[in-house]
Amino acid sequence: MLCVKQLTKNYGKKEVLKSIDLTIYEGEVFGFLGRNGAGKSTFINILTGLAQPTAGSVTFFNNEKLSNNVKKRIGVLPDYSTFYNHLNAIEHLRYFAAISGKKVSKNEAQAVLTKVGLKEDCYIKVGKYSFGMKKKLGFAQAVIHDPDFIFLDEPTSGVDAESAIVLQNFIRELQKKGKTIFLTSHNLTEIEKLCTRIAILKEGRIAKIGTIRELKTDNTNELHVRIKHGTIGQSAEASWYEQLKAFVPIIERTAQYTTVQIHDEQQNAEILRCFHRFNIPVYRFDIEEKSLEDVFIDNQKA
Amino acid sequence: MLPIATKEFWQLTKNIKSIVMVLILLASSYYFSKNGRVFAAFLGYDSDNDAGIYATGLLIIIVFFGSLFTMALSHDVINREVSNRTIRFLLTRTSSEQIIWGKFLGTVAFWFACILLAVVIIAMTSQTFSGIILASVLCLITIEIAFAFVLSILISKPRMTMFLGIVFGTALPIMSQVVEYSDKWWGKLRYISPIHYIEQEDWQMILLPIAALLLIFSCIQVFKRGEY
Repeated sequence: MLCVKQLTKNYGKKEVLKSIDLTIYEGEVFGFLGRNGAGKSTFINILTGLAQPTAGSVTFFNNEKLSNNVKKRIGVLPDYSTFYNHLNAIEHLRYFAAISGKKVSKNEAQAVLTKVGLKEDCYIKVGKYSFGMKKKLGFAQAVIHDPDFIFLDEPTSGVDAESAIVLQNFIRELQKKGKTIFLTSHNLTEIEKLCTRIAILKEGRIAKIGTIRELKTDNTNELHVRIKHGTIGQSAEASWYEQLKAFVPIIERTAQYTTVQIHDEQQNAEILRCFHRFNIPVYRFDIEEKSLEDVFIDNQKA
Repeated sequence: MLPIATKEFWQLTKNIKSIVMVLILLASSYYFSKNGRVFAAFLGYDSDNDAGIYATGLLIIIVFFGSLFTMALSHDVINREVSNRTIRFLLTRTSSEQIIWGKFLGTVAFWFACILLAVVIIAMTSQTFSGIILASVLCLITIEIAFAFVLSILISKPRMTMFLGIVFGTALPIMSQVVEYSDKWWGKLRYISPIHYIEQEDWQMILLPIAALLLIFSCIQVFKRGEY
């Protein structure tokens, strides 16, 4: 769907993007993370034709460069959106859709505005809109021409919590329709909820890439399971310990807690069976997982 | 390109500045055409043999104020979109060529419509029509619009282009007259003055729209190199 090869961007002597390779597949919601100034917006600007790369190539769909025909199949919500103050939301959407070569009726425009939560405000001049409302309109203009690939640069920043949920649901709906979405956000919970794959940009390079699970387990798929259990009788303890150790490494062991390492969730059943075999009651069974926030912060510190 | 041109056209028709300028243009066309004979006599011109005298007022307005009018209305045609960052919505949907040509087409269409309206008023008032003056005015306004586009692309701040546009729009007709009738070395500069090609009243005026197209083409090359 999108193939980026050896993409480099320099501003004077400063190397903002350093030889980035990236492939995004059809139908995925791809999250792009990075600190402020990491180069996320520069990257999106190059992909969408707002800036030129110093080196490297970007191709869409069937190996096509960013031509007018490709642009018709792409929707973009830029990081900072301002509009024509003298037009209302419907006029904006119809104008932008027309530039993309699609004729949109007032009803169609209104339907999209309803989905982003601007139903009541669609005839108000955009000059009177708040920042959050402009963000929603920006989202609506990115999808009004029914594109196949949608770039959303921080779609929910500056938007109230309720509206953010509305926009997130809309993203899910678009994904169900088979749209490919490239999403950047500083809201890691949002990224975790929506994205199928994530890349973390650090100092102009992709430091990590993978599914959320892969990132959380550092590509090993290893998880820690912490089990709170009853006291184990002295006679049974040694053989229980040997049996458990035979199929999962034991990380930590106290009187009431045992922490083991698994690489497959199916191992959980066997662990429980092992406790059951020795009549040891299990009170809690917690899969300890790093949050995306932990992964991101660890990555930035490294 | 067409939606951009259409928007530019309607935006100009709703602009208060353009309404005032068009009213000046139409009122002066009407006044000159109604008093064509008086005007001709004042210039010592035999108006009975030249129907064009009635439309001369329109030509004079465009020669002396055309560049000022076009600069006032179009000095920020591109840089306003860049500074407001609305250009990002356009550039992610279509090419630089389509944007610039669309805006140029819309602006030219607006001025052509105004001039044609003025010509209709003149024709109705004086019962005459001068093709050569209409052609001269259209050629001149086209190059003046192109100058405004060049300014708007080369200079990123709308306030600066407003200032330079007024200076340029005022200075161009004066300088054109100075170089046109000068025997000094700077008289050679008449060949870069658009008004020189109008005053020939022959095929040379066609060089003006050709130059305008070349200027717009150059503007596109400059615009494509920018980052938005």
